[in-house]
Amino acid sequence: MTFEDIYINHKDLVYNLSLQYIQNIEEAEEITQDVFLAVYKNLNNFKNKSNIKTWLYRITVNKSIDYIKAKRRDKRKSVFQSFRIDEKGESFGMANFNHPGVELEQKEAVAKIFKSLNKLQNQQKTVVILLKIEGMSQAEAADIMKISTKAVESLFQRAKKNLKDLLSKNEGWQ
Amino acid sequence: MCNMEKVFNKLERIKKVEASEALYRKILGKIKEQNQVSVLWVATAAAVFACLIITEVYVINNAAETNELANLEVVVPQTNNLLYNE
Repeated sequence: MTFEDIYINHKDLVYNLSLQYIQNIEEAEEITQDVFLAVYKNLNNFKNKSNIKTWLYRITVNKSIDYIKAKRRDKRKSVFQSFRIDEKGESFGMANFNHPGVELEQKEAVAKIFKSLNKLQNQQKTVVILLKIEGMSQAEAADIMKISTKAVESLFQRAKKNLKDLLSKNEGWQ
Repeated sequence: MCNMEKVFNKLERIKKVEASEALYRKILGKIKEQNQVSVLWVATAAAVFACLIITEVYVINNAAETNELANLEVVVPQTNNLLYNE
């Protein structure tokens, strides 16, 4: 399978998963570029040991988390920007919600859900994204995250509880 | 109190979208850029290696010249020019 075939068949998978992490078109495109650059570099090492989809999901999850971490580091460095974020009362990465997959009438409510989802630990956030947005089974999510299905279930229960607490604190949530 | 079923239902309703057509060109551009960077690295490494070889040859040549002088000293012994020794 050539690099071009992989891109054509899986570009939307990578782009949509990046969007669930970052909720911004331009930044999701940047992550997608990083993912396919990594695919290009490591194509010879792949050798079909795991399913190509699983491999791409893993790279995308890792690249998205790395991107968010780098963004947080950059924002911490810039004192001026941190003040601006504090004034707005927004958390890192949520300043510009621009998710094209969300219907217009749902946009406000979904933006609030993502604002809370973005505050969860990376593994908890990943479990919610894979199970609830990507519609995967626990076994599929476990395979991508390289953990047991029991661990996936446990992470999901913790994520659900934490998300509920965060959303309950959010006054505008109905 | 919030209803988590409603929350997850909203997340499940997020639609899949298509990636932009221009993305592939951008990716190919980045790949080209990275390849150019690696060519630059190879060229730099080659230049450094060449400098090392030149330095090595220079040092070896100098050492040979020093040995030749040492051999000459055996043939023509150097006199002691110290005149104030008693």
